[in-house]
Amino acid sequence: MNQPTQDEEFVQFVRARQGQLLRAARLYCGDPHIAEDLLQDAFVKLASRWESVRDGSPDAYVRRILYRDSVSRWRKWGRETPYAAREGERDLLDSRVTSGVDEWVDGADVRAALADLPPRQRAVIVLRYFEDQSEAQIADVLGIAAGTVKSQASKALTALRRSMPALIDAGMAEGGL
Amino acid sequence: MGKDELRNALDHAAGHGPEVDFTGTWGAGRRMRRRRQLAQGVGGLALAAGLVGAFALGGGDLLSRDSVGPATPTVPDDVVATAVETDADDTAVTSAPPTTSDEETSEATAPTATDDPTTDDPTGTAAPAPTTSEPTTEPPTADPTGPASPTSAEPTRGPGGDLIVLPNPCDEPTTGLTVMGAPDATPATMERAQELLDLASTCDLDGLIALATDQSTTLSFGNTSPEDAFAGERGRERVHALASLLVNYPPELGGGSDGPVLSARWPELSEEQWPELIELGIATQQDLDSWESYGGYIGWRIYIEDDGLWSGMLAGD
Repeated sequence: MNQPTQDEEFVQFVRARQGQLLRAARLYCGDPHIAEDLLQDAFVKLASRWESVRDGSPDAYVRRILYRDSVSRWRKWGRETPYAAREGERDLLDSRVTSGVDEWVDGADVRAALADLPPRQRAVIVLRYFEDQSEAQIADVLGIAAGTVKSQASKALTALRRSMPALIDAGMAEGGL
Repeated sequence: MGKDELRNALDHAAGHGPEVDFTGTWGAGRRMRRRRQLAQGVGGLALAAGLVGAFALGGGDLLSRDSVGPATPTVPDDVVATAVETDADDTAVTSAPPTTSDEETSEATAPTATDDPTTDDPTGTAAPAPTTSEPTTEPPTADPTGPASPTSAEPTRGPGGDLIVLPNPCDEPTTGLTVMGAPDATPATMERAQELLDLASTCDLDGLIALATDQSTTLSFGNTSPEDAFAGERGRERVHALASLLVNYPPELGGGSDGPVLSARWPELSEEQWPELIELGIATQQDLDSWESYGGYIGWRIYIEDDGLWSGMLAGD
């Protein structure tokens, strides 16, 4: 029986990767609840194509779905205000994260700055500086040329420097990736 | 301050790891797989039945133009002046539509695929492949005040030999085009795409309006009715884009945002290919500049669900 083996492989993959991918999804969309929806949909799609993806790069497949679906959601709903509970406020929608609310609030500025970027620039920043992907890997995930990755990164860093000058110096913004 | 600080900031902003377990998504994925396989099986059977039926009725060689016959185009009254444009390449450039964005911000995607899909017209899949003959440079010989003939036009290939540059179908209807597909697209999706291409390439506005009405197709970010969407110059541009995109580019699959319903979205287009749309006459340099500043393609997109539902045709953001 193949199915139990595939099932186990899939479960192992999800267990190993769900943490990092969910955190990346939060940076894509700025909202922990939408991020969970995005990642759940991505894993469902992965499961539906597990036979053809398992021997390749399921990680890259999920990243690609996450990016595309986050862009689709962005197109559908426009720029969403990144979610952030007020300091000291209990997150009534998700009691599981109460211990991390203050830390989540602390990161609101960064998520807001990311939310101001066009989706592809945001994805380049997340993939490069959060997921440590190479230019070639980013190009593969986003379906663009390596040169475009560089130009998008440069534009993104310039924009981030405007919103977070303390975080990104001029040299980094000019130097790109 | 630099890359390490940015890495740390992103790591902090991403929050903690999940306390949610996603391993239960396996079952939902397998159900999606079964639905997809079922849809493909049903679509394949419908296609086979259509082909058998056509042969049984004496259709014979379905790839013959004679057996298919030209569709009757519906040409709006306002095409009189433009019907005399003679140079296909010039037409492609000068008629480039500004794919301006709809400003309204309501629903951007179409209704879900739970509506009754109308997939009862698979004949489009039997259309012959586009010919590779030389570009048509002769002006139309028909009376410019009358309806354009769909039989005289041949697709014009671009310098690269791959691009099929169509004149606006409402000026020069074209028959015998085949939609660009993708291996994983369902038969129902491809049948619908072929039907749309057949309607668009012959400027069958009544047919497109009827189909969009039947499918509750989303044609703008606002409340544009099918009649309005396909009226006037904007309607001509939409028809031109519909035909040009379906015949030249494969769809992107699996990009649906409405839950686990896989869908096809034309065109799958890299940024390097954007200038081709200018050559096709369905975008301007201004459009490309706006996409560049947006950070992605937001020109005309055509959405067809796995069950063949034509869920949308939109431009803008």
